[in-house]
Amino acid sequence: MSENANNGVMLKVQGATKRYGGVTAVSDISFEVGPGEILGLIGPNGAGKTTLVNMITGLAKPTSGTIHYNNTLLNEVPPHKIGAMGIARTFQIVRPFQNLTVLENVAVGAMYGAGGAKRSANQSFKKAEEVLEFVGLLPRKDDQADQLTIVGRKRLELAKALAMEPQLILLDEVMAGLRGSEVDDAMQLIRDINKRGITVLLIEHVMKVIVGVCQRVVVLDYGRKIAEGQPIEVMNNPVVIEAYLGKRFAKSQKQE
Amino acid sequence: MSNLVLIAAGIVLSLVASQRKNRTLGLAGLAGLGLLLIASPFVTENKATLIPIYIFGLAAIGWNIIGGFTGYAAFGQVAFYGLGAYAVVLFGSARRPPLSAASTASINDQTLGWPLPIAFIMAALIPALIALIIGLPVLRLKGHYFAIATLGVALAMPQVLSNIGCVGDERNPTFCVGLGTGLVMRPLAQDKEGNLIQLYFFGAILMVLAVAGLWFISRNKFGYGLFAIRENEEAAGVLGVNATLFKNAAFVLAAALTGVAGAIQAMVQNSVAPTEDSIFNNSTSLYVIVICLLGGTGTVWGPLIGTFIFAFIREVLEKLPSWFNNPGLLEWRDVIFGLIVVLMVLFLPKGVIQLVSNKGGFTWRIFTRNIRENSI
Amino acid sequence: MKLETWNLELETWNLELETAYEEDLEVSLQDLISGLLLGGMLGLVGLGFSLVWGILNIVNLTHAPTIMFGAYIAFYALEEFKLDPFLTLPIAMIVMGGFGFLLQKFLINRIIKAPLLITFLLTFGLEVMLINIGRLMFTGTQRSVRTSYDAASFSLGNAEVSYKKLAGLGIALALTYLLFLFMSRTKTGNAIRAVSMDLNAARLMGINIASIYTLTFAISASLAAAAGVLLSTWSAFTPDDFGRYNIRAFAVVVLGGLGSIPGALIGGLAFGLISEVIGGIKIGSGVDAFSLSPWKEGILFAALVLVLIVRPQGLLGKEGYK
Repeated sequence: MSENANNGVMLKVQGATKRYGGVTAVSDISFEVGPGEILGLIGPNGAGKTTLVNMITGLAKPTSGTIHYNNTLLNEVPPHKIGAMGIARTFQIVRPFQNLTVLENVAVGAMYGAGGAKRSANQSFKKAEEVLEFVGLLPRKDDQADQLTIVGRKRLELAKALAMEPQLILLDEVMAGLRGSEVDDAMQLIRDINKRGITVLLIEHVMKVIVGVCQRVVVLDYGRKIAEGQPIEVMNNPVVIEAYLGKRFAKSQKQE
Repeated sequence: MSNLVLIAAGIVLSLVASQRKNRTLGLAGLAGLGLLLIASPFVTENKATLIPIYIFGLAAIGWNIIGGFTGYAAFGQVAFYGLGAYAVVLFGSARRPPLSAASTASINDQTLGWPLPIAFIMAALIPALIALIIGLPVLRLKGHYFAIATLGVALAMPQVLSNIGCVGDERNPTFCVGLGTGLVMRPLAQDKEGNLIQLYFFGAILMVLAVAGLWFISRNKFGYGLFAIRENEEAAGVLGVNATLFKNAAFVLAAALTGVAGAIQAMVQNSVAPTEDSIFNNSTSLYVIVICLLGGTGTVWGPLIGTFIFAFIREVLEKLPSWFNNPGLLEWRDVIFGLIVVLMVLFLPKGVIQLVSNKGGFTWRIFTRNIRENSI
Repeated sequence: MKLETWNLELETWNLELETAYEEDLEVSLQDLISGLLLGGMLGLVGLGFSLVWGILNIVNLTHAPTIMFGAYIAFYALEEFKLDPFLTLPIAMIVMGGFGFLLQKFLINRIIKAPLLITFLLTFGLEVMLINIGRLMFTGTQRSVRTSYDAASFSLGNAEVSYKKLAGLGIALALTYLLFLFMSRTKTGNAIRAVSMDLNAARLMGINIASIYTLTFAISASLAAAAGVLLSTWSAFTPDDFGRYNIRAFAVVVLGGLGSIPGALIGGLAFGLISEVIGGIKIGSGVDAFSLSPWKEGILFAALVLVLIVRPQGLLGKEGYK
């Protein structure tokens, strides 16, 4: 592939499909993420969002279809190499290293992520402190990870991913469980991350967040892509409304 | 001096050295520990019983890398212990010419008589190599499955070694590699006293190096990679940790240390055979874990502290009958050993090190809190 | 494992050389029948082990000493009260069920939330204690449970089938079926299954997890006692002979699949058949005959690790307890 084919495309998902036994979790999904973009990936529970993220980060192999990152085929690449290539992610159900301190948790990301090869353990701890400062967890750096509240753990998850110095970060429902003002803080944090030049793929089902942060949105339902476009446009799409709120509601909207 | 006193000093000094609250005191503990290690063989009542301390210590430190740091509960370390023992004799013992034409395939036909240092290197390399071959499939298993698969490997290993011997008819074998019936370590048969001192220092120095190695690993990138795998392997992978590589490396390192431990044991007992009574005693696998548990699994100082405590318990249980003038007490030894394991697991699952590393200092509440944490 | 495979290849190659001269490989009917009878018993040994592992997520190493106690109850009942082992069976089950109940309630439940290594070590410590208490109580003298019908058997083709062992197989099958009925038909059984499927959901439904665990453990202990009573009639024993049943139970569960009642039986039968058949294979004849018997355990464990890697859920394993 030539250099210009890459123009404007960082992540390219083509016809990605994942079957578990007889169940199709993700079916023939295609979309692209451009560098510097914040793309939202939304859909009701069970739409296949997390499966898609797992495929991009190497935790699940696509049954068919391809995933390219900066023109490199990711299908057969193991997770740790994908991490070192510059893709970081958070987990919807947070996975802190419970018996390590907050600082150590983040340092592991700094040691082995995209920027890790050039760092010693000590330099990684310095990097980790920087990142903790950015997400506002620095005062708690010496606490064990399991002493954090749920909000703290979400931030820790984010810090671990950021410490990897990724080019692309996949945020899997980082807002789930947060309250009103906390959501606003988190939204600002995502915008700040993006300002640092990191491309964001934001997986959410909270509409408010998507509209507030994303430039473009891809909507999934039952493992298929049902819409793509600007947030406002997509939200008024009857197919999307139907997927979210049921057929009857969509009909009543139309009659009005 | 009684070994019991020496070992008790070891417990106290290693606990002092492990605490982080007072640096000067820690350094003093470290110095005391060094002094104790150097002086012990000259003041002890029985050198032969001091050496096993380091044998188990080395193997426990090895286990701590895979079981404590990486979180893979390997329950079959005796496989590597036995392999190391075999290797040192096979490579290091002088070859004996066949006694007569009638007796082919006799003991020590196949030993190679290489210099001992090389034999010891082989005693680390061969278990390491076998660990690599075994680890690639077995480390794909998790939890109980991994534990029992390693246990299975340990049970199969002596069988493999004894059957490796000769293929075909016993009297006229088609193919023979001569491990079958066991081997005798020859060069050490004479001058036992001097050899014991040498072996003691060899073991002690290796143990000190191994503890330093643990400390080094726990502070660099490799160690943090292992910790991350222990805490959550999938999350570690996503962060860029090559889990397959790291856990295999840890398993191989553990096997090499355990192999050297077995090799020292082979030198002490002068012979090896693929039997439970010789070097494939399955309790060895469990002892190394219990040592780590006593001290504190996954910590740098835990295995060392545990080694001394374990040695202390064994020494006490050994002497109990003579103290109370009741030979029947010897039979209670294993019951008491089991009871100690049960009590430790219930009240102090993080090891004795928890008593000195606890933030609020020592309180009795540590015990009740531990039990409350794990109860339903 | 590689080393072993290599060895096996070496052996096979050597065998081929030999068998080129003489082809005499046969699996005898007797081996098949012995394998089935042993397999039924191992199925029973594995059943309780699988139950506790599947529901409490504990590899329970006190299983072997419980079997030991069962065997000695049978021995003393016969010795002191002239009670036939088949009549002792329900008594031993009740006694050891009670023992399991107490052990679980006061010890196992105290560490149930600890990591695997800790729970494993607790049951290991208990095993060491109990087996050695057995040594002290029962001494190392070989004991056997002898009945008037010991030698009674009937012929099937050229094989002999012992009535006593056949009855043992029948009881093992019956207990498996009873457990299956209990788990699928009763309210308590359903609660146990619910706990194994989703702990939190079960808790929300008002199921008392601690008592479900205790009950499960007690059932497992009484099944182990039944296996001990039946095994006591097979051959002479000392307390040291029982430690091996843990690893066998484990093998049975892995072969059959964790979380499956019929799986335990199938795993037991598979284990019994494989081990008897492998042990009986002789190639060639006379003094030159090559026997696979010394390789029995090696081959079994190679097969076990293979099953673990290729099909971690076992031959019949499914999610949740069926």
